[in-house]
Amino acid sequence: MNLMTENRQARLMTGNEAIARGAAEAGIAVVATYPGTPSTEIATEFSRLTRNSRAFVQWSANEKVALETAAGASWMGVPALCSMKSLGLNVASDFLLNLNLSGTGEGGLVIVVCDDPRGHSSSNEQDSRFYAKASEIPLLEPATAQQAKDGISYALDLSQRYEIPVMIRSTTRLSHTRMPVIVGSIREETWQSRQVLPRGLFNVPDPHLRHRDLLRKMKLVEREFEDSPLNVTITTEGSENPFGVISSGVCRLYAEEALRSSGVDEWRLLSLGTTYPLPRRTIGEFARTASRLLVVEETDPFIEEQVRVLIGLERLSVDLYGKRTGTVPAWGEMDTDTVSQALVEADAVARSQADKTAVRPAEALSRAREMLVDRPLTFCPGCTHRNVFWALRRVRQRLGGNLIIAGDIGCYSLGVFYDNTMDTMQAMGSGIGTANGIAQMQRFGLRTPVVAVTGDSTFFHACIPALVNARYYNASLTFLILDNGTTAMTGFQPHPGTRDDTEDTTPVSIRALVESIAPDIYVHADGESIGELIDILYDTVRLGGLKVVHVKGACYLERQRRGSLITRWLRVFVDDALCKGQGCRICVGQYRCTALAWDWDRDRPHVIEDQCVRCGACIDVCPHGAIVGE
Amino acid sequence: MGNDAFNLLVAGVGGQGNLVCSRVVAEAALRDGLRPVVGQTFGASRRGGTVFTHIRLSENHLVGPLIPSGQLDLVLGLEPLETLRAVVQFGGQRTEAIVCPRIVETLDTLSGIRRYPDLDEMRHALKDLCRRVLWLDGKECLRTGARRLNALMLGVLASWDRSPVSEASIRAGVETMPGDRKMNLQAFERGLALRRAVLGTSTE
Repeated sequence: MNLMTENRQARLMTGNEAIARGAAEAGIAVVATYPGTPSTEIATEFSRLTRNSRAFVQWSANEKVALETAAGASWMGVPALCSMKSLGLNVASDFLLNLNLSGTGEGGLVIVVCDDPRGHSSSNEQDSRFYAKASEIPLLEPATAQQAKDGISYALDLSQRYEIPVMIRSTTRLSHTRMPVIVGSIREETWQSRQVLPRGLFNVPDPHLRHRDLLRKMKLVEREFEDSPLNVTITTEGSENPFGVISSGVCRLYAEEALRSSGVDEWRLLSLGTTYPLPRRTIGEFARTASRLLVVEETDPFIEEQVRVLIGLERLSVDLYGKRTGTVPAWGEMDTDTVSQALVEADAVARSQADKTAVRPAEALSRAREMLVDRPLTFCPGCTHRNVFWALRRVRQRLGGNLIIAGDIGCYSLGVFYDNTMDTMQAMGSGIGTANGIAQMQRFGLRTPVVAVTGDSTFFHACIPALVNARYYNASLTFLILDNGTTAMTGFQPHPGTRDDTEDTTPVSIRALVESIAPDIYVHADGESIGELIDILYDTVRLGGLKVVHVKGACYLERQRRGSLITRWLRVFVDDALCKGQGCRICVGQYRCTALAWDWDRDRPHVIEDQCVRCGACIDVCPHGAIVGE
Repeated sequence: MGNDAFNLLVAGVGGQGNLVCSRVVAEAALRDGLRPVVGQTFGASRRGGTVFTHIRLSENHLVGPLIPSGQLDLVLGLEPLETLRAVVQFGGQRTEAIVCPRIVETLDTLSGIRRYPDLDEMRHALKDLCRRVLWLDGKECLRTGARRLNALMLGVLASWDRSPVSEASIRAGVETMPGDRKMNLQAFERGLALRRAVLGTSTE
């Protein structure tokens, strides 16, 4: 097919949109997920594509529940997909490492995990491929959006035939990059649930025999992978003894671009799309034709280490370069520049030849650099998280700096950048989790009050066991639930507390859940009244016992999205006569709502009308009463 | 274009319509028979952060989603500070810039901790670092209204002599942009005229 004909059929899709399309084309009926960047759009797009069908999309309470939901469907004979971000698989892994042995039944189950090298939108940098190895399940790493789409049918077919979960791993740059994709047609619905479960969905009393059987299946899968269309070799003409590169996933694009622009005449590239079990015969044949090999992958040396073992076993004489030789960094994101540099390090390209960097006028460059003011992340105008952290800063100040604040995952994670108000931030639910341990240090002399902060979606996801634990062991701490009624961070997905005004869901009350474990104190607070927040928090944190402060918050992005135009005030403005100007600057310098700006001409702050949401929270922030609402 | 990709970067701030603008260019390129790869930066876009969209257009092989350093051909700058940032980060000897001088303040310039850099100084720095700079008329950009800025910029791009995509294909994309179709097309036409007017009076 020539390019013009091909282009007329192609559409631009992100990797995530392609995965969703692939799921609809493969006939997936159930998608269960928990939102998390860079994976969220898979379920969003699948919802859109299948809105007129019976397909079921569930924004589950957490990733473990999502995977269990998907497995339940697959057991009943209905094809399912479970998508999540890297860290989500940590949550789901307990079930995954049982499900691999129990099997997935006839329906078929595809797990899509989106890793985030460099941690653009993550609290860590993790390579989730080790879960495929740990659970001994097939792993695919598509290189392009086209492969991402086509890979879903391939994975589902594999899962249905071997009755094991198949994992697809994407990374940020595949998930969020648009590329041309030629689509197929969306499959007609044929979904029919079984009435009873298949037999033997448990691994006892002989899990080791289940393990043996799984390994046998994986041998057969490896044989299939030798002929998989997801593995592609790209070769220059007449390559005798060329330099070879093995890539996986989107790294193929970096490797191919770096090789093509390197000036090296002869090279071969093996783009691997099936990376566990590795197609060892394919790799062995590829390695035999090269004297030097470079492995390019994100993030850990997952393939590289397996290829090293293979080279040893097969006694191949090839020099292998990668992360273990220090040729490629074993951290961070790959890109074309990094691979070009690695080609130099691996002696494929002469150092002199590689230095194509144009010399730019140094003086102009340094002048330009000095002008660049950063744009750090911060809370939106009117965000009640800012108000809560402002109140916590004030309380901490009153307590002479002695206030421990354990944090969690969500928009409010920005609290770590907001005057370092939040002290910690790890996994979902780890704020209240670690606060359990910190609070128990009172037996060893701790006198500082302990606070844990979470959001509503994170509360349902992972806070409940830790809260129950805190109750049982009488942990003396204050638990703040910042409830804005939506999963705001990832784009307003519902959670079990969300009201959607349909009969398909029944919202679960956070208040009822919390009260059922009988905390010593349960207080409700309004996130838009800063004065009240400061008073409640100051009083509560100094008391003993388990205290829960449920803060009713507001997400103005969500309100705007719903077209809600109700505002507390008609106008909020600065009264220049009352304002103390440069001598104070608390509103713009410390509170820092982005709707408040410094006016250099008046030497006073002012309210930016088109940014202000007229919540009036800043009125309480000004100690001189100079911010006025009307 | 040959073996090398044409590398276009749309530089701006969250909320300026960067993603819509990039989409129109990439789809126009697809219509023109090229292979676009569009790398995006997400996340910060909601909260006033820097948003760079890398549009890489090649004739044959798909390339990586991010522009290698020094290989930026053209930056479509929706905001001057972000244009300069993109040029510092990805610019090289072949870089050209189209800049809308309408500024978006940063957290530190809002709060008066730092001053927003002087427009003339930025303009000079860009001229020193780029092969060619088209610094648009600030009043014209303001007159267009924030929501139609991207349509205006697409008009300027469509009339750019080294534009990798055709005017017809970009126009077809502008027709399908979100918002008022007529207003978008008007802004696009003004962009086309703006570029021609600038060329007629000055040779920057």
